[in-house]
Amino acid sequence: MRTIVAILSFICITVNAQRAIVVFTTGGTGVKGNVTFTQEGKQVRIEGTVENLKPGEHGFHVHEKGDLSAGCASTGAHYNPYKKNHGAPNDAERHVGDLGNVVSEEGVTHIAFTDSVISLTGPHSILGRAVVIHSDRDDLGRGGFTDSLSTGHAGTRVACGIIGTLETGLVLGASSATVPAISLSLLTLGLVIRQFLL
Amino acid sequence: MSLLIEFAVKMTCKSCVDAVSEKLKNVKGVENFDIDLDKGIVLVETELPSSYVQDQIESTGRVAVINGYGSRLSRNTSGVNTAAVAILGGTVGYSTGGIRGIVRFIQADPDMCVIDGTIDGLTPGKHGIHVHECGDLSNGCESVGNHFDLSHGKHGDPSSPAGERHTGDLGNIEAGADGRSIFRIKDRLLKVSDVIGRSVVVTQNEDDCGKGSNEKSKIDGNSGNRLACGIISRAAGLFQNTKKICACDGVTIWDERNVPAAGASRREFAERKKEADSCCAR
Repeated sequence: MRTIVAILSFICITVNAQRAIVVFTTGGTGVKGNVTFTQEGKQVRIEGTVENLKPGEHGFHVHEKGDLSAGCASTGAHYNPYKKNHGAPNDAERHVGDLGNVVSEEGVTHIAFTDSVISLTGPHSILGRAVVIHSDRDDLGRGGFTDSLSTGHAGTRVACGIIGTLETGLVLGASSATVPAISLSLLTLGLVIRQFLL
Repeated sequence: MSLLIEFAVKMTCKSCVDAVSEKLKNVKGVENFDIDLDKGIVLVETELPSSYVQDQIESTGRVAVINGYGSRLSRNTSGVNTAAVAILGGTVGYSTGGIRGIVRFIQADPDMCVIDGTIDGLTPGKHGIHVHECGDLSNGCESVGNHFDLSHGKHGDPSSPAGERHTGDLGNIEAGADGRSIFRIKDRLLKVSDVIGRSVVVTQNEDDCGKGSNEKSKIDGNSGNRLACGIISRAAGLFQNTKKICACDGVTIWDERNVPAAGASRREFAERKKEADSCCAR
């Protein structure tokens, strides 16, 4: 029974975890698209499609502020609460907001990866901050340019959007996250009990 | 409750300081102010809406941009989650009928949130204003969910306690004959840290604050269609903006009606504006 409770609480935590969305509309360059962020335990899954980026790699970063009152310029620097140097997503030395590059092929950019440094919860949540797509490739701190260790020499900010809370789409209201979590927990409980019986 | 508003103002000489100083001395409701010529910062302590103070500074012929907003309490802290901003309409937010606005949320102290905003393009009269649970504008203002509520209560009047109002129920704002609404709401339930990543919505009709006779009154106050919305995002508190992005550029949200959000033509506009607003030139 203890195992069941443990599994149950684990499932609750993972399912209760939040989702977020960025709708790229700002930047004046015609770049548009939606990207979602889903917390899966300690990882965040990033998925979406962006259109109209020029072919090639583009720096893709979470910036500190979500303030777009002066366009993408007012979003501040890469989100960097630990005051580290800029780096690659898999480096220990990286900004929390360093998500590397996305690749545009014939104007369409499919995005699908996970990251275990950013989070949608806790003191360093990325909610309410901005995602900025840059004009050039992020050199991941290795380019040797004066700005490689701060911005990855990724050029200008061509598109940005605010990371907003995403509706689960299942139940409206403040309890939207808990209800599906409970129903899924019950389902899991059923499956676990079934396994015990079998 | 007075708050500190930090403006980046393009000032290049002592006479600019004098002009701004003379102006602010005569604005009723400005309690204190401090002008730092070197940093190009004007710090104003007031209960007035920020856009009103901004207009007063700009009436001296200089561009002023809000750089930070906070309370004396937050001045010496890191300012975590104390200030947020939502931009309604335009390319950042969403709206129908060309409504545009900017709404700022400042945690003045642990039990007081100030909601300071200016919205243009409304029909004259009252309009409901609410924080909604989601910050998803992928389907305009229709995808932001219901009124944000931590208490699982009914819709109600902002003065009601938790449970008898939604956390996001902020009542009504009122637009004048020119379609502009300037407001400064104080709220004891809403907290900036709770609403980051959610959205603020302005509605077509007046919110009856749950006092209507039909069932809908207890849900949304019969406030009608959602006219404009914006995601509540993290903004700089006092003295957190180390880069003078806004001051160098000078293109404000209101100018963006005519200006692209980035690129060469924005720079050209900013240059022209800078020249026109050149300090000490009359």
